[in-house]
Amino acid sequence: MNFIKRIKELWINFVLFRFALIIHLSYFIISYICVLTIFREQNDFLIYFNAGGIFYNDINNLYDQDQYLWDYRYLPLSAVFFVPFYLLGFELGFTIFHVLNLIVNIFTCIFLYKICNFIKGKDHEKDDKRIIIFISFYLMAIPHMFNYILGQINSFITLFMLISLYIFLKYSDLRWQFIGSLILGFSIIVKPTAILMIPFLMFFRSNSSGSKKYQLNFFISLVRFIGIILPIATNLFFFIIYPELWEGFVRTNFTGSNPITLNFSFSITKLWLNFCYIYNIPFNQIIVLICITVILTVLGLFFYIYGSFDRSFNKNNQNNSILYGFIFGMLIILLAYYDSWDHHLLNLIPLLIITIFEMPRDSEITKKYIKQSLFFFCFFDLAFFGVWFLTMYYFYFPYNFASTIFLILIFYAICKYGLNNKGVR
Amino acid sequence: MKLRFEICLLFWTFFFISLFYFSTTCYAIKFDFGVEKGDDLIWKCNIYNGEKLKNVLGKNWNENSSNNFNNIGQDKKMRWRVEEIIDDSKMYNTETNDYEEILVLEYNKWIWTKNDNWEEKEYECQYNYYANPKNYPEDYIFPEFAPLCVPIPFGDYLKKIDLYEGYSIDTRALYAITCEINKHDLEGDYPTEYVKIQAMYTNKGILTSYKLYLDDHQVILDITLENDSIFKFDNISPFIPIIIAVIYFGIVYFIYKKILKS
Repeated sequence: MNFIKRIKELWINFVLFRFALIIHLSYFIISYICVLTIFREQNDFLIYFNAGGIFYNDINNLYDQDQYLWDYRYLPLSAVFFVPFYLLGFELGFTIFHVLNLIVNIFTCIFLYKICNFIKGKDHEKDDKRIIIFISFYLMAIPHMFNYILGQINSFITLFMLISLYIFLKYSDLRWQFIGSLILGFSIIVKPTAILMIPFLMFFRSNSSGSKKYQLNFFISLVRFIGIILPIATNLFFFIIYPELWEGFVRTNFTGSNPITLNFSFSITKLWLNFCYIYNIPFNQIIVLICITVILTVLGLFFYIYGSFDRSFNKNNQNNSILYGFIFGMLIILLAYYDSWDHHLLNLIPLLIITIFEMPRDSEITKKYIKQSLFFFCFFDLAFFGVWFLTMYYFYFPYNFASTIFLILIFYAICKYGLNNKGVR
Repeated sequence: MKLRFEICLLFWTFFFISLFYFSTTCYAIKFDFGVEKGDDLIWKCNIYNGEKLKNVLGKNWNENSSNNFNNIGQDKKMRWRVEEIIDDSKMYNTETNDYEEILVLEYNKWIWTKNDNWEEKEYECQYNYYANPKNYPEDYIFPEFAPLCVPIPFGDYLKKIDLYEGYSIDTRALYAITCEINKHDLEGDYPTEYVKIQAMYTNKGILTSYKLYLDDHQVILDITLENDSIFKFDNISPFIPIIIAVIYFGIVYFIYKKILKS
């Protein structure tokens, strides 16, 4: 009841928030109409919908790409999530999915609010006005439109991720470590965007140590590992029973042809592959993917382990270092995997907002890098997709690297923060 | 309060009416060519490793029903001029043992040459496609592995053909066909090693880029559609990507410095 009262209050008194809600609702309505009319045959929900149907009727063909207009590439259990929508039929299924997406976004905002409030230091404003401003930016972010219009599931991943982060930040006992990891594991089942957060979860820094080095606390690492692997490993059951599924999964995601066709992905891997394609330079896509992933992960882990991310404490008097593990994991997947598109940024934007409240209020890093990148992702990134088509068609220049620059800037900023953090709070 | 309730009611009514309206709408796809009569298409061969192609695909690799690769060579060009598009013709189909509707693209062809002064046309040719993609035989492989022109909607048409298992169709950003052929999968125990063909198309279904790769993406054949638009930079092309990259950086820097900082 308090929540509704608060929303009413914000609606009346907070113009930006009112504006953000109207914009978000217009994304919701316009995309709904578009999917059921002009994009009726061309949307990602149709792929999930078909995957749900194939899982239900003939699981062996789950990765037979002739069944889909675009590739289905997620883990087998992800398709289970879409079986109910398949049983409802496309129109009703999509309507419910679309409304669910909206509800999930509302919950994402609630968790975003809770985490920002929980994590912010004493040098930040006492009231929540600034948090509401950033939540309004999140609601207005243009990637939402792209996400809705494709019928994508990134909002679900974001919510799972935020719940997991909230748990890790708030509780330190083993039971909650397990639950937090389990939730993150579920998000990976739905879509493996968070998969590179796993190495960062293995390192745990206790408040009492006061040492710069992370502890590899065996029990906590083990509990987190089991928690995250358990849901993912249930997919093994399907891979063992239906060996064709494993072959199809690997082919679709890593070794097949679609990951390397020219597109506007802003990952470093894709930019490199596009360059090789245009200039006829021989390449092996897997080697490129592995090299870039390993380089970034090693760099990220190095700074995560040796950086001072544990100098600021939340309201439960726990350090907030896990947030940076989440950010490193997300940045690495966006920079390394073949396909990083505008709507994937919805997974990163909330983490950036939380970072703004985690870092000191007058932090130069926030001002110079994080805020700029946040606004770029929210309002400019999609335009560069259009620019990509123009430069591709007229100049044979297939590189969309605007977002790559900002992702690298954030990576650099977080590393810099880790090295220079003197712990002002 | 009452007004807000009415707005909510209006919103949900609209939402559900649209649901029922759209759910009763049927969608039928009719396939057609994206090219039009009079369209002039010129392809250029940028890389041609004839020796390797013969070793891998056989010495008669370019002799197929379409003969579009006859006389091909490095820096040579081939020209098509679309003459007619016929969509009410029929052709006997040995699979169905019946006459099936076809889409016919009639064009004049100038075969691969280094001579830029196109003189009298050399051939009158036609490309036939079944109007119903289901009429193709099982495990179908296109004569050139990836055709020079495909009916549209591109993805719908190709996805409905029972293509050879090595094919994969991508319509997410650009239209693309990839065909991976394993060793000895073709007649006569060809290819002698794994080959991959990657082809890209315009939204009209016209081939813009064709690359034939060996393992690890070593190109032995590369063909591109000559761009006849106002942007033709043949003489300064090496500098174009650099200029574009500089402009691109400039735009990003401008957004960063002037817009985002304020």
